[in-house]
Amino acid sequence: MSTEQTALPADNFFNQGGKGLMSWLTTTDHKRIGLLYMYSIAIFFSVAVILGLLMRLELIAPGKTIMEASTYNKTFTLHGVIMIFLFIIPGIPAVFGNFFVPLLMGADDVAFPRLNLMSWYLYIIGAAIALSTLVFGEGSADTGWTFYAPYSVKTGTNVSTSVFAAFVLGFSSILTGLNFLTTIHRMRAPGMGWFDMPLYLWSTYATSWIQILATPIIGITLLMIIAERALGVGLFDPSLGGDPILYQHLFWIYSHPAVYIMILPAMGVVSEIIPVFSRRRMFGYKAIAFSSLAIAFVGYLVWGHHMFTSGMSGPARIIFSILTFLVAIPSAIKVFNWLATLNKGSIDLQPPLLYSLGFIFLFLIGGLTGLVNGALATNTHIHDTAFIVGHFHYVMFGGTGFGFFAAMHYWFPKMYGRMYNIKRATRAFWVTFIGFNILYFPMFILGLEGMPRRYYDYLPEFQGWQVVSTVGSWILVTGLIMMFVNIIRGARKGKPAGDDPWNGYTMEWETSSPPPLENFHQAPVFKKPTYED
Amino acid sequence: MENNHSHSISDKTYIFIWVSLLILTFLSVEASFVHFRAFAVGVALFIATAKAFIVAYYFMHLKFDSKIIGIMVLVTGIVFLTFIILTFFDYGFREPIV
Amino acid sequence: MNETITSHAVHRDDEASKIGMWLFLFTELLLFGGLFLVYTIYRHLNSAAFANAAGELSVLFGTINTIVLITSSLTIALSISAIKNNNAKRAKIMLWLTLIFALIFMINKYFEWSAKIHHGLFPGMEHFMSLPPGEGLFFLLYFFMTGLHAFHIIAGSIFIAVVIAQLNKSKITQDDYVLQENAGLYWHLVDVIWIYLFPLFYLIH
Repeated sequence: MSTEQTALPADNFFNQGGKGLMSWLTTTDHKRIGLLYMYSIAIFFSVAVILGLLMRLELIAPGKTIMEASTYNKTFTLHGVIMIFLFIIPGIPAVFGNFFVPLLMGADDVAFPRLNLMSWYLYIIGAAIALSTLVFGEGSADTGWTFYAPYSVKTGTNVSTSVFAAFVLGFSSILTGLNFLTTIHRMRAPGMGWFDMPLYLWSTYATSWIQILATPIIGITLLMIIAERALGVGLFDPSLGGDPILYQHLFWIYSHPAVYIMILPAMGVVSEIIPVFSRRRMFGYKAIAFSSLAIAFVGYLVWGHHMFTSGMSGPARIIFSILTFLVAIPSAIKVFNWLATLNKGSIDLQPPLLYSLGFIFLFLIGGLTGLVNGALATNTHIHDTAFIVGHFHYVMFGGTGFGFFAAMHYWFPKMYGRMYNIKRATRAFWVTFIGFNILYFPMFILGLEGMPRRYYDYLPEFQGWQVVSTVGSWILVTGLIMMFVNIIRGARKGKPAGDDPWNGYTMEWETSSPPPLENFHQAPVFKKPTYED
Repeated sequence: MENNHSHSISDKTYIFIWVSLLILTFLSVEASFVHFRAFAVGVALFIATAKAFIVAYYFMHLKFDSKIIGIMVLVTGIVFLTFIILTFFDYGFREPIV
Repeated sequence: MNETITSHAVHRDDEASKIGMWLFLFTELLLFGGLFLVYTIYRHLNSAAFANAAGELSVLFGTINTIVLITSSLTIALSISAIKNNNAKRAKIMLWLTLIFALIFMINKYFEWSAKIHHGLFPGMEHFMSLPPGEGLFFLLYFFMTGLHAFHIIAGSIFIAVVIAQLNKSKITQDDYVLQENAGLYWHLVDVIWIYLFPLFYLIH
């Protein structure tokens, strides 16, 4: 990288394994693949953020402001597809998972390095197909990221291509999960038993199981949509005896567990960060490990809560509602254990911890409003309103997004061997955090007052909160820009960080920063105890 | 190398397994012509599952593989059954459309 | 649990390959699982129509294909026990037999499908569109599921062909045959899926 700094260890993976673009595009080094994911994800994230900004701008006043209704429909569809399939689902697992799963267990790579590279290519191909709908065919899809039948089968827009893109991206996600599961099973350093694993590995393990067992369902469902559009007759067509609601079942059988694909890795990151910055061992290690598995399993049982007003049978609604409340238990176990770890710790408020605390705060709001959605009676009132939009942005962006930022600030010195500016990072955090709340909190109020989601127009009485929310989006984006500028500057010009700047005790800190090609200079042996005394 | 564990099934056993699979196939064809009414699907699926189990246990070597793979198969089966059962809570209790 | 690190720079872990293969099989199972779920629900909603429509399928064809696939499962299992006994020649013969059975299966399937298409039962055709509700769904699912299964037969055959090529190059040996084992696992899975497709489509009366 830059030349004026010589303090970085010369044998790091940026230097080893070839130079130039081709060496990166053909690499099987898990660290480089992680970075490839990070750079591509950053691009798609920025695109989707811009789409989000445009939507907020449209909503600053009732009626048409900057775009037509149909453009608005396409914008929120693309915003959703990119954010979900290109940012949040691959986000933490593909970037930090790839980089740190082997490092955390003292391995030299993942179990199947070539397959790993193939996942990245599938990801890029899927992304290219998704974005190609903007240019080719009859315009990008306008169905929302959920592609609900029967509209997705009837609309003239380019649904088949978008759906195929999601199918390819699903494959990429499956292969990543498969790789991590095998890696965790087979490649832990000598001496590291299952309950010696860092908690991030536990959350990755649970996540990967969801990727393996739920993603195929969406794959086949999307193929059904494509077949239906190609043949002109289909499985969800009531005139043939089919049932459009079955599509919703199939869709959410995947997409609800997918929510846990998104949030579990973030929880894992927070579970790594909190003990390090409160200088205490993790309170309730096993409880957190098992709660990851419990969330993964219970996550399979609750998909129906997306469909309470769809015409599903009464008993099904009651059962899904009860099961939904069960998810709160393992989630709360985690939150309480994090707080118990912080309690009486010697807290060092560095940016990674700030983002983690931001995560806990926002996830708490997201989680508690989730209970409002999960109750049958209140759900009827707020279904398909801005309340839902507020809820899932608190969980997905406030949760996973902030978890991603926390991981970025925590592991950055290991990845680049340099340190970003701590003061600037702290400032960026506060701007982002405040902007976030100004942007999304009004949505709860608007939703309760009856503002539907996915509408480009609204009644004049909603305008006050809509303006607040739009202003919030500007603050949030300012914060994001501050954060990224600081990070990029740190990667290029930051001071060398040393091997273990945070005084961490997991295995990734034992090697040099950035790590050498095969991670460790000599084969590491796991030293007990890390968490339990 | 312990990787290539040498437990193996003799060819004779394989042929025996094959014959039993054939017998089960004929059994399920025959059973389909007997009117079990409501149980017909159950009988068919029971025989199919027996066959699948035999294939997995002997042909796919679950019998000799590490236990963890067997557990994984079980988890996968449970998750899939969960999908079916929970979906039936909807369709089993739908009000008929008049 | 820990591996014996061999002197080679590239360390080989057969158990990892096997776990990876099984995990992949799980995704295949659930890919079909989604379709089985759709089948189950629609059969529940249209049970009489499904029984009617199934009358169009030939139990004889279905049974023959079931026997063919089960036998091919036997031959591939025998090929693996042959390579374990260092009999590469016999392993290859057994794999070729497996491929021949796969071909017979596909030929059978071809005749079956052509007959249905000849009757205008392919989704979108005239006769198909005039079917009472429910029967159309049956044929849609029939073509979708057996089609996807046939696609897997082709993929599995390619996998087996690769294994034969590796055997020819002596890249698969008595000490290193995990690729062949994985091909076997894949092939058995294709068999298992057919074991369920057969009664669900051919044996409803």
